Amino acid sequence: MPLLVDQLQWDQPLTPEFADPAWEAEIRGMLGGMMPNSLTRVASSAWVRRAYLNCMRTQFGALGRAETELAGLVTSQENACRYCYGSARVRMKMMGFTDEMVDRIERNVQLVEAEPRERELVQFCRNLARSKPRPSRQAREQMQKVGFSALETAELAYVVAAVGFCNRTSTLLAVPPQLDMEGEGKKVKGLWNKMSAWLPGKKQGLSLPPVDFPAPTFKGPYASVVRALEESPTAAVLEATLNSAFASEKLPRRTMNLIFAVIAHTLECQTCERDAGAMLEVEGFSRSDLAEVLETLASPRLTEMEALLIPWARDTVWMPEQPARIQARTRPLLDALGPEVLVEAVGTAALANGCVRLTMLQV
Amino acid sequence: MTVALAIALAGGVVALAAFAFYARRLRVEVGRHRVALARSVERLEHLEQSFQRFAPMDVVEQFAQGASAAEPTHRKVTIMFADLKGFTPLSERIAPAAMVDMLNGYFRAMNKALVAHHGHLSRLMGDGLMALFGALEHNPWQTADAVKAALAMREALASYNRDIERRGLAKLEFGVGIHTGDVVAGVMGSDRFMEFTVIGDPVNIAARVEALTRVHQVDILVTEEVMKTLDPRFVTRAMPPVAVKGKTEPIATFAIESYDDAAQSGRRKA
Repeated sequence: MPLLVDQLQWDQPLTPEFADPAWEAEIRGMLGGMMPNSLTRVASSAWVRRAYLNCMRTQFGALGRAETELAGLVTSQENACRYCYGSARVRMKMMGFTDEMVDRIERNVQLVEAEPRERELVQFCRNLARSKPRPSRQAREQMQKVGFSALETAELAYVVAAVGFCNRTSTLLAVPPQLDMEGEGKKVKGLWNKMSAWLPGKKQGLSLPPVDFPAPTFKGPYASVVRALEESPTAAVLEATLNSAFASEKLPRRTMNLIFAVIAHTLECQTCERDAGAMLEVEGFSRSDLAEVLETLASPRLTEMEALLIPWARDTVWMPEQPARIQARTRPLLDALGPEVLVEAVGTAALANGCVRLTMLQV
Repeated sequence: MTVALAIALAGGVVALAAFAFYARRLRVEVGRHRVALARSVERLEHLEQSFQRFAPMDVVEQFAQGASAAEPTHRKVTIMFADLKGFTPLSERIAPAAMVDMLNGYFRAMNKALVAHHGHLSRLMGDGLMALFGALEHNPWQTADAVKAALAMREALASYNRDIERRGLAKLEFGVGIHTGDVVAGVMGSDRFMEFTVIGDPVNIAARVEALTRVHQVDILVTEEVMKTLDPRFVTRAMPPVAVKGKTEPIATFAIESYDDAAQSGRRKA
């Protein structure tokens, strides 16, 4: 069983708070005065902070709010992210889930009592977040058996990928847990909260206004991954995120594609590995050079920064039981790269991990 | 009329009291069951967590999901055997409790090095251990991981030796053998005792290679199959081929000297 929130060991934050008054004003305006630690610690990267924020306000075509939150909780627990796991528990309570309900979801052994649909959802999210191995067609068919439509399953996979993005970003940078929000959440209990959560006008957790993303063109980087979400509004969010990530100049495109390739290779995702190879060729990095990197996690063709990031990227695929271990593994990168580049590298690895998991919808 | 009303009222009060009494009993009963359920869940979780000392967490969870989730599979795995040299005569000279303490400290140090390099401790055999790389998840870098783990174990043993020598105990020496190949991985055993392990010829070869460390007087040996996959950053030395039990051809092995991260990486020239 994955560890519970109080059992997780969490290191000191890797990156400082980044001051950007315009960004802070935008967020505080949106969140009723609140400024989450995560959005301050990644604020140095325009695309990482926007991607993180978008994960909190994605609109779904078929998936309901309660199931989205449930999937988020399970994924955060599975990825052992102290920051997101703590916040997810509070949001579930704000939505009307009782302590007992949250407890039952967190503790695998109690799942036998759950409804088949809930049980299958939890198992699907756990298995996809873990990806040992990455679930495939059989898992999707199992979801269908308990009543999930193909679109709902695709959107659940998106939630696992998107929440996984937030989990990895928060964990790898050791974002301090939102203890003030968790403290408020502890006060939220009982039957009244459960009933009142559904009252008109009651604010359900952090309910943010959705954003209008341009319709997806399926032409940008890793378009084949975006294609997996074709029927869902989440395709537009993913495409916008990938476009802005690859437009950033803080981390070379070549380095980003190498990170994608290594993570795809670790999880045997041929789609992402092929796409990464094609984009690297455009950057002048040959197929044989890539093959060498994937074989040895090194190459004389790598820059000093890439030589550090490539072996590390591989370690971001499976979050260790104790997050402090991967945080200790990431800390030396901070000295070598500085906080701004580190945030982009962490964002890239987190995005690649999400994309690679999403391609389970195509196998 | 008044009497009838009084009787009805009294009856109502009695019924209400009985109902309240019954409801209270029910509440107590529910509370009792809830506590019992919570204790059972705690015991189950404790059992699951304790069981993780005997088998990898992924395997325990697969088993918890149903036996079919832990079906045996064919896969490429890198196998490492490590054994303490001369431990049996040493163990005869020290008290059993001190010996167990010494061994536990050694295994803790070795396990830490294994886990840091994507390996997992599969089995303890007296003062020996078998570790696997790539048995639980796809690992394209399993041979390099195993050799790096062996080098980390060498460092960990040196550090542990400094510690036990301060306690007046003799220092430990080990031999490590590494081989890679296709095996069957899964949960095996009888209805009384089961374990997650691997079977196949590569396992026997890895064990034989470990034994060859005594013949070649080195601490870490790998087979040619492992050697072929290592990049030039691993500094190695070829050993003369030696015939081993159960093999018609002599086995060629390579001693691992060190790992030079600053050296030219890339593929090893054929």
